Amino acid sequence: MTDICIGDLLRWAHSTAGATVSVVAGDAQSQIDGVRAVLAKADFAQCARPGDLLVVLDAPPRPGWHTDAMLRRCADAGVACIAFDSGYRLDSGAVAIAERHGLGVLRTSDPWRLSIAADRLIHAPTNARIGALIKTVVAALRRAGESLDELLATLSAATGHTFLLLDDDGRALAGDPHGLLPEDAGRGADAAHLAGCLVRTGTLVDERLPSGRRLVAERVEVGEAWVAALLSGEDGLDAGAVSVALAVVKAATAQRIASLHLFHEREARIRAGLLTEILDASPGLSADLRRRALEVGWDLRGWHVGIRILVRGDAPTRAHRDALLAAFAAQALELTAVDQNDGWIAWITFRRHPGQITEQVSAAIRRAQAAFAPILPTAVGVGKLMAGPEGLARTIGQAADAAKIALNRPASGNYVHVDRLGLAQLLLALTHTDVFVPAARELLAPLGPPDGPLLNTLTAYLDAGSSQAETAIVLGIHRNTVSLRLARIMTLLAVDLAEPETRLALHLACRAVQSAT
Amino acid sequence: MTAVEPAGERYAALTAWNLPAFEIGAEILGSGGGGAPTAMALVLADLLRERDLPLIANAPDGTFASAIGAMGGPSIFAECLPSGEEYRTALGELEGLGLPRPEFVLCVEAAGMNGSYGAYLALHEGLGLLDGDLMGRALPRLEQTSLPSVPSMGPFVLVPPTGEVLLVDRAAPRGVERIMRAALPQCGGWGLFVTRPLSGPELGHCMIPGTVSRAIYLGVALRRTSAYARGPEMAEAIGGRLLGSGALEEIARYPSGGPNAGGNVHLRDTEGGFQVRLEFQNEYLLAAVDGEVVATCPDLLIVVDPRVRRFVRPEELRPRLDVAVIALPGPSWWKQTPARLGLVGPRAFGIEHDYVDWVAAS
Repeated sequence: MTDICIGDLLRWAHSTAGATVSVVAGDAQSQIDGVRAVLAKADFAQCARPGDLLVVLDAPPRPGWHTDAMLRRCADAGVACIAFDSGYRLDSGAVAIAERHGLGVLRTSDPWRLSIAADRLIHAPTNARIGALIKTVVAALRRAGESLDELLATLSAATGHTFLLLDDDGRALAGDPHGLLPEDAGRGADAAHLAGCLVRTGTLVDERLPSGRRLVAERVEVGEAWVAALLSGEDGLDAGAVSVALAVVKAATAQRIASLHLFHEREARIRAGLLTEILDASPGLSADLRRRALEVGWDLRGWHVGIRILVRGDAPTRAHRDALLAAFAAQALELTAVDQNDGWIAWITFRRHPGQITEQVSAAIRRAQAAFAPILPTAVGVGKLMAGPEGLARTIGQAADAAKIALNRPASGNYVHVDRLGLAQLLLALTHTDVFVPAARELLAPLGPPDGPLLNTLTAYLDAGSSQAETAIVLGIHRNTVSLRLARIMTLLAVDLAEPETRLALHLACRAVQSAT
Repeated sequence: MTAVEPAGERYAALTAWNLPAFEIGAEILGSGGGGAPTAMALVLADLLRERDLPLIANAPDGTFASAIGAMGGPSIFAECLPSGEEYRTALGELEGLGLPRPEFVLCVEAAGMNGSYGAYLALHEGLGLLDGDLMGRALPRLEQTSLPSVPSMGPFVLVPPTGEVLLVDRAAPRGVERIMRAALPQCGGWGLFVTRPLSGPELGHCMIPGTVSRAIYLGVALRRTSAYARGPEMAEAIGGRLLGSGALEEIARYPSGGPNAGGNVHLRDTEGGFQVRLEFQNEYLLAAVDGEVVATCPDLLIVVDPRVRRFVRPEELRPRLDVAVIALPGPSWWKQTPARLGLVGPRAFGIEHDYVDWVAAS
């Protein structure tokens, strides 16, 4: 007994022999145990054995009692399937007899090749299948284009299996998105199951998914990804061959990923270098510099708002950059970002003076930062709106200073806008003296520890220009909570926050205490 | 099977009353071939109104009988009608050769058109009609008769409607068949023929007895069934076996080999879902159910539209026609020796299959 069914044979004959085969009668799931090439003019039903595939090489006589009798005898002998040349047409009576007696009938464009292919599939060991599959894969790789999607699509088309690029969560990064996890109830189960086994196992996965399909995957060392093949057919006859072929696919995928990586690295470095030159070249820019800026798509004229984004934690990657741009784009901000080791130097350019919308832009930047935070927490500094290439350099400089402050100010959501808080903020930042800090601690001691809710609320409130509404947004709490807390603070400290001097003193004290811890 | 060889059931005469039954029986014994008896039966009906035609078991010693029939295309026959003088010419020709004048005639086949023709001639010429024939059913070729090869079939006289007289002598049936078939296209496409006069004892050896009675018997049996009878009841009434009934699906006619090349037709049985396929040439020759050959010539295969009781000949087949296919035992004479089966079995028609004895098997 083999575990080969007619469906396997159809795929195999197509991919290895180029013979198209279609099912006229019977079930693609029926098993084939042997293959026999026969001549219609000989009485082949005599030598047929149970489970055989009979491939009729010559043209049989026109359908009639003789054909009926032949089919019937084959069916009675237990023959699994009989294949005819496409040029030969069985009439409906003969097909009905085959159906009634459980005999499969195939039509093929090339009976001779089909018989050879079937013989190889059944009798040749797995090595032949591996060899044939690798040949197919290599040929597909040669003609596939540069992009990963194209590569995977070509492979899928050539082999009949679905090739995919997956991340650790079992989500498809590239390849046919509908092939792996179709849009139905089974999708969630498959993805969850897949994520589980990708994490659990090492570098090679061979799993049957809850939906019944079989998946073979191998980890790609370059990047956090897996190349995977979703086997066509239920029993996954080719699983062994496909896992070997995956090694070849993996190498090709890694090469594609690496070269894409290299390309983007190079681009990023060119931009970083260009930006440095622009920032250093004051006051006027040379024509060469302006031309190069034009080449990378930077509009140096117009009005700019510099934004410095510092990451808190891991170094940023290209994927992060894409997410960042997407987060800003979602706020209708067209951000130009240049990669830095610790984050990005970025800016937004307006053709004309944006007028009174500066406040709105600031709020939008803040929302973008908040949206980006689950992916990568950042500190953001924003410079003033300034004109021309020189203005760009200055606003970026301001943004850089503001970002440094923002890094130490979780109370403001790690966000500082120079335009709003001005130089006073910068001055406040410089109150870190040995005399001032202990005094400030003394003053604020009734409010509890430095990272306690009351002290945080007070700091946020003063930073937000004594606006309870904005404080609530910054802290992510309800506005009533803010007013309750402020009432308690005034009771505990026995002060009145309406007095400007009190506010100033408390503001300085808050800043000093929180920076020192 | 009494219905098959009604040994005791001999009819004394062909009458105006049993003529319609004879007509139906001739269709059944035609197994799809033999030509339509209808036209001749109309002529016959007129003559039978005046007197009955006694059926005689055999020619008494010292008397002779000639076998008569028409050969050629039945469809041409309908376009080029006989003058009525053909038989007189042929018999006169035999007399001219010094042969005894036959007092009796018998049909070469008491089936299809030829059955009625024998009766017509007997009435018209005042000759006796023997209750027997040389084929027992419709068969397409002269060598498929019960006459022995030696002595020869001749002198054999064929009179085509174009007025010539063709005479072949000292030829075995096979030779006569070949020569006449070759000549027919040159003289009108059909012809009426008369064999040499056969003596009573000779006929006692080679005649297939009771065929006319059998035809009447089958017709009577079928006419006795209710008007609502369908395939199963009809098969039972005539002692046959229903092979299947349903709408005809595809009809294939083999293009090469002339008008007799034949073809096949298949239908899906409405009840059982199985496939019935019929192979035909002039007659229906073989039936296979789901690829299993269940009946062959010389047994009879009939295709009948039960609702209108119309027998469907191979040339009348068309898709979606609702029919019943019934097998009926053929003349036992042909099945008595392998040599006889060789003459009329499937292989005689180029079908590579042995005769299937379903009657014995059931």
